[in-house]
Amino acid sequence: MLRHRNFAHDLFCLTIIGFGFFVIYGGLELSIGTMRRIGPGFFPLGLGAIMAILGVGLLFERQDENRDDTRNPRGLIFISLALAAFAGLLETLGLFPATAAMVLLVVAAEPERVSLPTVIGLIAGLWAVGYLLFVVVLRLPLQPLAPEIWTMM
Amino acid sequence: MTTIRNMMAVSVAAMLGLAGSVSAQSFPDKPITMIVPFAAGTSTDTVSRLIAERMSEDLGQTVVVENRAGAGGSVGTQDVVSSDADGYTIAMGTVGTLAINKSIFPELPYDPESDVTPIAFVGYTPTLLVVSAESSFQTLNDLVEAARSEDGVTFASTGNGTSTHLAGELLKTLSDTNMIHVPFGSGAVGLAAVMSGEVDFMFNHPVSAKQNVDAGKLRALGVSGAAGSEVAPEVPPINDSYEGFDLIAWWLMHGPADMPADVTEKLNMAVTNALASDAVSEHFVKSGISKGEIPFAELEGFISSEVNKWGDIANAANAQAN
Amino acid sequence: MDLFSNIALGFQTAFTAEALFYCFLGCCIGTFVGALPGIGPMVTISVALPLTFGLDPTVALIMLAGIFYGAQYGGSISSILLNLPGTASTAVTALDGYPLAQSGRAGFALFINAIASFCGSTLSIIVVMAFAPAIAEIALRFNSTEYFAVMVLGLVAACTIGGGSPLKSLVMVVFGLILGIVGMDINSGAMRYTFGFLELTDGISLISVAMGLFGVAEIVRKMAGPSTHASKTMIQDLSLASMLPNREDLSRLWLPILRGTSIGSMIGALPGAGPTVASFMAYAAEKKASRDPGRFGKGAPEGVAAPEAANNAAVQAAFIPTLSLGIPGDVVMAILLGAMIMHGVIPGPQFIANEPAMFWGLLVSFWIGNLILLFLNLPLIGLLVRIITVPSRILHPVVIFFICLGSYSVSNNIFDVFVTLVFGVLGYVLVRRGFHPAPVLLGFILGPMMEENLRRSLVIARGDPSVFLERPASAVMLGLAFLLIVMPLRKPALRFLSRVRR
Repeated sequence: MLRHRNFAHDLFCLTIIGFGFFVIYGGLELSIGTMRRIGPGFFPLGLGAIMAILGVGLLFERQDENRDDTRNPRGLIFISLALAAFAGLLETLGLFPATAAMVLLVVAAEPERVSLPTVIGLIAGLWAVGYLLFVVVLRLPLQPLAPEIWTMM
Repeated sequence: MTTIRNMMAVSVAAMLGLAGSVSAQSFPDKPITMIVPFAAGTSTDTVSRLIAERMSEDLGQTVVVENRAGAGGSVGTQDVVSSDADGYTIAMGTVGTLAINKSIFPELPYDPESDVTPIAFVGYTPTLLVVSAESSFQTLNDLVEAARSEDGVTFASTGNGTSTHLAGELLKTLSDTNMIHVPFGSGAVGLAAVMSGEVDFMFNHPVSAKQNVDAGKLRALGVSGAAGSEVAPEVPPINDSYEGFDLIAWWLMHGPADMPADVTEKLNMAVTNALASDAVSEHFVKSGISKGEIPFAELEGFISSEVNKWGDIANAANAQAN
Repeated sequence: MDLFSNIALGFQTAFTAEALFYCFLGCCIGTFVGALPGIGPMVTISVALPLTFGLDPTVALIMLAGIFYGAQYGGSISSILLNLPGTASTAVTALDGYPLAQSGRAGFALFINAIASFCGSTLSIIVVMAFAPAIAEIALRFNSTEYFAVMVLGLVAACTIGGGSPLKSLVMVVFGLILGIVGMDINSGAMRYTFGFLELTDGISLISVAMGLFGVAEIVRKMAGPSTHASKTMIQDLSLASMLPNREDLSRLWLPILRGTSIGSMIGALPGAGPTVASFMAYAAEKKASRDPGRFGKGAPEGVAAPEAANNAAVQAAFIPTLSLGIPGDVVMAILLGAMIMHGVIPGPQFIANEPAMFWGLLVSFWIGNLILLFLNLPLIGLLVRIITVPSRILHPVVIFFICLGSYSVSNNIFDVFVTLVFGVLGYVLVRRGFHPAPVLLGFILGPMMEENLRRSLVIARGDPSVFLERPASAVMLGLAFLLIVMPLRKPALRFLSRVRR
């Protein structure tokens, strides 16, 4: 059990170190410059190095029990899909389909079942509020229901 | 909420959505979008909004201003260039977006000489070269002499590749001295740095500069435009000392390439009327902006000559965004 | 005295029916917009700008300013209730405000928020009224070297903020710094870590990072939490008695509020630094000054009072460089500046002298506005608290919806929504590993400014780094930062050394 925890922590530290090196690599492609005129690569290089060093330091740190233990991979996947669906549908199919897809996916992430009237109410309500607030008031260039849908039918 | 009410709400909203896509015959029959490729609050934004307001009255349709800042104005300009050439999407171009950027950004996605339909020339303003009132520089010559030393002098700008940067580079080239460029994110912060003496000089917008000159915090040593500045007529043009130094910041309304001629003409008329209005005229006077007298037919040529002029300066200064 | 006659003039200007109405309108809109995640004062003011054309310039500015500082009140509301900062400057408020709300004391947290915000604003306004020109002069003398030192100090302070090991907070700060680098470097024009995405030219959207790290991650966590099984709704103590702070609370809070206000006023007066930096520094300072720093992050009322006083104070103080020098304190101020110019008023050193009625009228309207906001927010607390009693199966989709549209509305780009997604996943992973996301925000905001000032200092100093120690203010601040880093390391260092000696 203890070994399992340390492994995950170590893996994450290695990720941090790797990230540090990634940043350093990116910085090397840019010019470091001179003291008289520091180039764009200086800061990334320095920060990447610090990050890598910190990652090493973390490896040696005693793992305290202050971690958060709520695991929710299913929730994470569904919420991510909800955001992706919204983004993907918003400009192609319009605000309504995007809202509907998003609500459905968020509701799917809930551990308990959500009733159908609630879902429909959410979709319609959010769409109406979103349209009024963002499109009418803030004049975002959004189609409530894109014309392309009608040509597809 | 009952299901039937939900359904009614949905259908009404759907019909509202459909209504927007019905089109008519004459121009303009729906709102026009004017894209301002800079943030709200900048001088370009202010000018654009004032003109858009008047144009709305003139055309009978709202001209909506949208700020799409980024990459020195390239993002907003690219958006317009790639939109339909029906006159409903126009942009406020500047010396930056239509002339300088071509030389600064080697991968600029649009070509201001061929991807743009000019609509109307809006206005122009020279910039003032200012130093701190506490500095020892009394004339332009003093500044240049100081620049000959090994340490040189520093000048602020509104960013790498902007007109204020290139103006400094041109002075450096023509005077063959050591002038070190210090980029700032905004003109105001740069001006503050000049006032506090942190940086030696800066090319800045005449009105904000003049305010501080009057308040005794700055001293103006020269004007970037060969014709001088209406706001500060006593300041000599730099051209007097260095032949060929004639730089102005300008605004030009444009749309994407190949716009229909009648649409362009209507927009041109609207802009002209807007420029003649009281509100815009007053603002121009207060801001030191002069109205241009470039006829419509010469706009394309104007853009080309500006591209070349700034391109030469940029090349001499080796100022490219890599 | 001259000050009193000026204030009288201000009252005359600000107390007209028109001015009062638009002040009220601005504050309401600001609070509403600030509370909504994603939409911020910047977007709102840009939209409201054309609507103010027909108004008298002073009245127009009163309204727009009302939107601005009203948003500071509103932003903390969603920070406390939903762990979703409405504006970046209210992110720190969530650190202790959200735990308070989760433990059933949301009303109490909101109350403290309102009081602290009001005190912070009012005191700061008095300072502005009395010392505006003098402060402006001092702020002008602050050059790149000092700015760099201030930011280093701010970042070191950020390391003490997150709960858990300081090493992990440091990693978060550095992560934030790295994220801030993404985009086009203004000094050289080079693209850094943009991988060809044109949308990244101006950097990663702050809203997306904040929404993702705080909001999305939190919702994913909450969905798995035990509360969804045991009780679907959050039980809140809705009695008025529980919301009002008792005598003990008040005695504990007045000092944090004072400290927060002073930090906020000082930082806010510097153009460039803003309410966000102020709120972070106030929180860190409060934690350092506290006798029991372990309480922070779990629902300490000072952790709400100090940053809230600070960010409201900073917002008011930001008007100093804007009005008296014409130098906007931050992006929103720049828009206000543009609005002034559009109405034919040019702010600058002449402004106070030329247009005293407008200047003092504005200042008095700030005070009136804050009063309005206080009386607006207090009764609303009861209503607001009920928001989190809404069953989570309804609340979650609503919040995600606003996160999506909010992220999108910044640049009308779906790219930003995808960025929010990425940071949502990231935030989830980080919290699980024991890393707190708050320092990332500060690193993200301060990083670019810090680098800019470092490079600029060195260019002007012709490459000589001793300039940081030559300027007294800079030397002091850097020394302080150094001490802050070294002090906590004393004990472990001594332990290490004693082990080596054996």
